[in-house]
Order: sequence, then C-alpha cells, then structure tokens
Amino acid sequence: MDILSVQLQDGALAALFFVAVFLPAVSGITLGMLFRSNRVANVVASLCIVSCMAGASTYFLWSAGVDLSYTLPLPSAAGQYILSIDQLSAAMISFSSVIFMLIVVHVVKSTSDSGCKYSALLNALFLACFSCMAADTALVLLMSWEMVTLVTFLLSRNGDNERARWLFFVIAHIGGLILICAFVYISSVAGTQVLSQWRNLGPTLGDLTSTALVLMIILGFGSKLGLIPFHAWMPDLYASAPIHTTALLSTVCSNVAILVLVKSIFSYIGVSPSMSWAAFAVIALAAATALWGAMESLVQKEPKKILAYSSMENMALVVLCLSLGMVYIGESPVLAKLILIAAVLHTMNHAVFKSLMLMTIDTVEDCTGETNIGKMGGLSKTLPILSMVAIVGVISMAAIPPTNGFVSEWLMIQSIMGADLESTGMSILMPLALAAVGICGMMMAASYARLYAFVFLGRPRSEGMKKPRPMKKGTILPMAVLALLCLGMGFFATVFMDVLTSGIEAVTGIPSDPGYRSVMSGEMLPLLLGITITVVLALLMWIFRKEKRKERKTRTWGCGERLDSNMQYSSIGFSQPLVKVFHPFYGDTSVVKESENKENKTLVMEFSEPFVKYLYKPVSAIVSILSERMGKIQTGNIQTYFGYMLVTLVVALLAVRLL
Amino acid sequence: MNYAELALMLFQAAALILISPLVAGIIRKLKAMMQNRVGASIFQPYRDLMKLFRKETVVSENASFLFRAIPLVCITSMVLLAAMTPFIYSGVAAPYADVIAMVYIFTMFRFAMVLGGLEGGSAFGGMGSSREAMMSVLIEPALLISIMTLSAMTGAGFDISEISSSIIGAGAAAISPALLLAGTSFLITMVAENTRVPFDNPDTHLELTMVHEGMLLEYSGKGLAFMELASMLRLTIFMALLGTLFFPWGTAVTMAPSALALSVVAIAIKMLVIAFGIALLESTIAKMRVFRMPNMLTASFALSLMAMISLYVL
Repeated sequence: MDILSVQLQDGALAALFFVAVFLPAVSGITLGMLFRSNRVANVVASLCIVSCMAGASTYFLWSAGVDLSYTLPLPSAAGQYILSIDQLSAAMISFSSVIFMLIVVHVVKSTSDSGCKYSALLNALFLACFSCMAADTALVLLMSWEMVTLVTFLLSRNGDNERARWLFFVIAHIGGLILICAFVYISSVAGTQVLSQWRNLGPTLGDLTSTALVLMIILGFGSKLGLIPFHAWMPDLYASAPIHTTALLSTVCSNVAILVLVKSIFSYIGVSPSMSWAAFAVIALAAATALWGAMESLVQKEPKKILAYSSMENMALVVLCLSLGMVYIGESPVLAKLILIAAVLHTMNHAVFKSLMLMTIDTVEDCTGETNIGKMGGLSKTLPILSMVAIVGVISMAAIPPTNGFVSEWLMIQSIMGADLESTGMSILMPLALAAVGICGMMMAASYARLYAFVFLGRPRSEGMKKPRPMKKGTILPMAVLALLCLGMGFFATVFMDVLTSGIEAVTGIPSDPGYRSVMSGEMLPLLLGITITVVLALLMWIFRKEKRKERKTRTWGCGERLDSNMQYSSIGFSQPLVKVFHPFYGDTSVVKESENKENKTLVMEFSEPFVKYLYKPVSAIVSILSERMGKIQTGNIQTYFGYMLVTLVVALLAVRLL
Repeated sequence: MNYAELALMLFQAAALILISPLVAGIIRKLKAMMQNRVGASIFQPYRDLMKLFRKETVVSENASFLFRAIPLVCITSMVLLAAMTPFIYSGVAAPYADVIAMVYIFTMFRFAMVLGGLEGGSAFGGMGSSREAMMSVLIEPALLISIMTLSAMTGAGFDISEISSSIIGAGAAAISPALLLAGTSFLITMVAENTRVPFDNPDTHLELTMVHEGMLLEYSGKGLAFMELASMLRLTIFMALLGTLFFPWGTAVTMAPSALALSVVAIAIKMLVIAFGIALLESTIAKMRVFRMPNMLTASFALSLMAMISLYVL
C-alpha cells in the first residue's frame, strides 16, 4: 500500500477504485442493452462479478487507510454527486458485494436463458446498491434508492405477475416518497446536502420535528423491509418473481436499507431523550411485525412464501433492535452499541442464510417442477448434496448453535437482558421484548423444521419429486460457499463483531471505551461452543460409526399396511395444532368450495393476508371511486379546460395576494 | 479454570450421564410402588440400554443421512448440557456455559427430534413432530424467560456457575415472588419438556395421544438407545437444574471436601423428592387432551413473564 500511495497522487487510488467498481458494471449495462444472445448475457453477468469483486475489496482498501471519496465533476442544480465511504459502509459494501457476487454466480450457473436484459439489470442493481451505501449527498442517496426500487421492479418481471410487482412498486414508492420528504426537509434545515456534514441535527431540527423525521425514515425504509402494513407485497412478489431478484431484494437491498437507517437515526439526526415514545411505538410495530411474520410463515403452502414471511420476521427483529438502541442510547451508550452490533450482525447473517435458502428452493423447484410444499418430500434421497447444504441453512435460520443465526439471536437476547433502565415504563418493556423474541424464535424454528422436513424428508408426494432432474452443474458452488459462511460466521462471530464495533462507534459517536464486552454479562465464546459441539459429535460418530453388518433396511412401519405417498403427515396437518392454538390471529381458515357443476363441495384451508383484504382493497376501492368521480370533470372540451385554467389562475393569484 | 475445576466439571458431567438411567428407574419403581405393583428393578433402564446397544439397527428405506445423525446430535446436545450443569459444586460449569446457550441447546435437541419424527414418512412420527412443534412454541419461551429471570434476579448475569452461589449468599431474602414464580414456571416446563403426564405419557406406544414416543417410533438398536439415554439425561438435567438453580440450598459453594460431600447428599435428596413428585403426579392424574395442553403451557409462560415483570416492577 505504501508504494501505491507514493506512486499515485492523492485521491488517485480512490478514483481507480471507483473506476474498478463502475466501469465493468456500466459496460455490462451497455452490452446488455445492445445485444440479445445468451453468450453475451454470460459476459454481462461476468462483468457484474468483476464489479462485485472490486466492491468486495472496499473494506480492505479502507483499512489500508485509503480515503475512499470521490466527487463527480458534474455540476447539478440539485447538489453535488459525492461518494464517500466510512468504516461501517465499507464493511457493509464488502459483505454485500460478496453476497451479490454469489447470487450472480448462481444466476449464470442455473439459468441458461436469463437473457441480456436480466444480466444488464443485475449490473444496474449492483451500481444502485453500491452508490446508495457509498452516497455522501442526499441527492445521490435518494436517486440510487429510487434506482434500487425501479431496477428490482424491472427485474421481478416474470410472465404473469403484474399484480404482485405493481403492488411492490406502489408500496415501495410510498416509502420512497416519505424518504424524499424527510431527506429534502433535513437538507433544507441543515443547509447542506453533504451527508457527512449532517451530524446530530436533532437540536437544530427541534424535538418534535426530529422525532417525526426519524419515524418517517423508519417507515420509509420499512416499506422495503416489510414492516406492517407495508409487508403486503412480500409474499406475492417472493412467490412470483425470479428467485434471484427476491434473493437480491431480501439480502442486499435490506442491507442497504438497514445501513442507511442506522446512519440516519444515530448519526444524521441523533437520538434525543424525547424520542423514547416514538421508539416505543416502533418497538411495538416491529414486535407485531415479527410475530405476524412468524405466524403466517407457519401456514404457507409455497416454500418461497415461507421465506418471504421469514424475511419479514428477521427484518422486524433488526428494526426492534434499532428502536431498542434508541431507548438505550440515553441511558447506557455501551448497551446501545451492543444492540446495534446485534442488529447489523443479524442483517448480515440474514443475508447469508436467506440467499442460501432461496437458492436451495429455486434449485428444488427447477429440478422437480413443483412449487407447492404439499406435493414435495423425499428429496434428500435423490439430491443428497443439496439437502446437506439446505440443512445448514435451515439450522442457521432456526438459530441452532453453532451457526451464525444463533450468534446474532444470542446477542439480541444479551442486549435486551443487559438493560438496566431506571424508569418503570421502560423496564416493563424489556421482559415483553424478550418474550416477543423468544416466541418468534421458536415459531420460526417450527416453521423452518416444516420447510426442511416437507421438502427433503419423508416420501415423495408427486411424480416430479420421485425423479428430479439432476442439478445444473456448478449451481452447488455458491450455495456451498454460503453454507460455509453460515458456519464460519457462527464460529468466528467475534471477528465480525469487532469489525462492526469500530464502524458503529464512528457512526454513532459512542466512545470506544468501555468496549461492548463490558456490558455482556456472559462470556460469549461461540468458537469454543462450536468446537465443543463439533468435537463431541465427531467423536461420537467415530466411536459409533456405521457397522454394515448390524444394519438392515426395511419399509417404514405402517401397522402392516404398505404406506403410499399420501399416507404420511402433510405440511398443513403439521402446523394445524399451532393454528388451533393461535386461532384468533388466523381468523376463519376453512373455506367450503363448490365444484364447477355444484355437485361436490370440498373443505379447504385458506390463509389470506388480512391486511390486503381489510386495508389495501378498501383503500384502492375508495381511490378508484374517487378517480371515477374526478373523471367527470375531464370533458375533453377545450373551452372547459380554458375555464379551468382561468379559475386556477384566479385562485392562485388570490392565494398569493392574501397569504 | 484450573485443572481441579476442570476435573470436577468433567466428573459432574460423567456423573449426570451415568445416574440418568438410575433416576428413570427410581421414578418407575416409585410409580410401581404407588400402584401396588412390585415393578422392575431400579437398574432395569441400564439393562434396557445395554440390550439396545447390542441389537441390530433397522432403518427405514425412506430415511436419509440425517436419520443416523439425529440420535448423535441429541446425545451431543445433552452431553453439552450435562457439562454446564453445576449440580455438585456450583462454581464450575463448562466455559461455554451461559444460560442463553443452554436454552438454545435445548432447542437444538428439539429441532433434531422434530426432523427425526418426519424422517421415515410415518404418520405417527409426523403427528409426534407436529405436536412437539406446538408445545415447543409455548415451552421454550417460558424456559427462556424463567431462566433469564433467575440470572437477572441474582445479578449473576448469564454465568450459570454464579447463580446458585449468589442465591445462597442472599439467604432468606432470595425467596422473592420472582423466584417462586419462575420456579413454578420451570417446574411446569420440566414436566412438559420431558413429556411426562399430564402432557404426555412416556409409557404408551401407539396411541393417538402420544407426542414423544411417536417421534421415536422409527428408531431401533443403537439409535433408539441414544434417544432413550438422551431423554433420560434431559429429565435428570432438568431435575438437577431445578435443584441447583431454583433451590440451591445445600449445593457446595466452595471446593472443600465436606461441602462437596454435603452437596452430593443434598442433591440426592432433592432429586428423590422431585422423582417422588413426578411419580405421584403420574399415578394420580390422567393425561390431558392434546388441545388442553396449551392452556397449561400458556399458564407456565404467563408465570415466567410475571416473574420477570415482578422483578423489574417490584
């Protein structure tokens, strides 16, 4: 590095870095727009991989002391285009780039006809996410966030899913609009657009305004993260969009959202004690979202929807941690630091296991042609390697030690329990938050057990599952890397935590002394725990290794009957007891359906999303009625329009005069 | 942790593993005596396990690699827990031991069991797994919160080895509403986790009411031996935890030989009392209907939550 910095002028290395990130991706976009052939599509995707590699180097460049900032020499009426990367962003960019790269590798390996357009859009999405995380002016931030929305909207096109993706488009734009209002207002008060100069603007903005702005920003990003009631787009889009789009949306885009959220709340605006009521409201919202996600994921029929609700639950837990951090920061900054580490680490862990599971489910659907979990089963006999990779993802989602999911859940509980809050109103909150995390965790564990068991275990329930096509060559590679990451980030969690700590300290301004370990009441030794589990398990396996002589294979015992594929527990039956226990939340789930000739009636279990039924549909009905009424003034007659103009002019002039 | 403590920790773990079949045997014998039967010897579980270890293994042709790994995962998790149960000398537990890890290792056991029940594609296993999943959603949070209450109450943090000594140190003042509520919740959790009456009947096979035995139906030979041993160990660990964490009086807080000897006697008496309680419960109460269970489990959850809240509000 020394030699480099001597040879290169100030800022030249940074410029080189940004060129390395942008040039391949931009040329990828251009190529993808110009050509159509599949061979070019692979080239385009490879260019995206090159960009991701450059992005992955961010943290190493940052820690080598390179000043990663760059101002685009382009004047603009709305402000400057500045990119600048601090430590937390650098860590997040590196990490997200790796995930992005693995997903793109999977795209290349799994789809033979993804097309140039799809690959070009992947490049665009990478650039949008990168510049959103690296943005140093509100203009860049808002533009790239809008780009993320638009590109994912375009990427999610998949034949007949117009409704799902337009719903996503609308909800994401409601969020985007809220964000634009918030950021434009803040920059008008701050007097500058440069984000790194926004530091603790709370006192300047005033208590009430800053609270409102924090709420707006949380809701704005919450529309992408799936907070209630914005989650309505998630299940449908996850079920219908190409899997790589949802994988990117639920991992890389969530990373972006959480990163900007942390920076906005804790650095740009700053948390004041008067915000605690708003924090309570967000805690309640996040806990409700997490519980709702956990409950709904238990009853879904499509594996992708299970994962959609699981994303919702995980992101809600992260938002819960952020809002608890807002409560803690006034009382005990160290604890706030710990819970922010927990939040960011969980976001990263979620990115790993969720992209792994989405790829797994994609492979399953690709090999068998089934999308309904009720028709799946028995894949671990026919696709053993896939099932081994999947079990790692599943135990890591279910927070079973020694995986990464366990570590971040451990940290969350640790930081909730560590709270030593003075006022009673806050301390009653803590047991409730703990209860919410506990119940969500167990429900999700049950849901993941269901996901794995009814896809991979038991007997196949349909023809496609009996004889799946072999997996496409090389698709296992990114999944295996992710599975290793699941374990590695569990074993070596402290390394990641230390990296995040200094980043979070820099963003929030919490002093680095005392360190986060001082508030942890337990000795956290994930490495020791992991090694102990592995050693004991390996030892037992070695002692009791299979002796062929003493093992016999036979049919599953079925009371003397020969069990066929339907004579086993079904996925709906599996979650039925829980539905019965929590029935007030699920509502009436059994629907009687008549057949077309009205002769037969069948009883089916249906779980509809009540937020769509009771919130979105009535609102959209009202809007269409209103717009129909409004339509009446559109006569198409030019004289009428002149009349409207005259009236508008008069009213406007009067308003200007009088106000 | 010096060598003496390490040796003591390993000894505690080994002792728990070795006595767990005896505990099961004693409960069965007590039950038999209450029901006017002679009953099998208290050493019968050892003989059963030896027999199972020698027998051949029959594996369902639908079962995958996981099926062979699950008994080992279950026994591993219980061995890990045994090493973190400081039931003779309170000051020593495995270095990775903290109460959160403890709860999640219990979850690991359950998760493996649930997957194992669905392995063979048998309806009994599926039913067992499904019910286990329902119970675990209510049991595990109660377990988590009641143990957390304990660690918050004693100020010991998450270090298991400090909880009992700080309760003993506090003397009679430690008997607070929080401890009693959390203890009661833990007691219900213990009965439910170990699938005893009134939640489940460990003696039945092939009844539509069963939970735990349903999931074990496909195991045989060594696998079954491991699963049985793991269940016995789980009960013993729970009893030891109840006796050391929630009612720690008598447990050694120093490594003096006399204190250790007293502690062994104390924990033996406590475990006998709990065993007697379980046997009495199983001889006098009928098993609950499956959908009555949530009421009881929710009560346990509410108790633990109240314990935690009382700690912070009172």
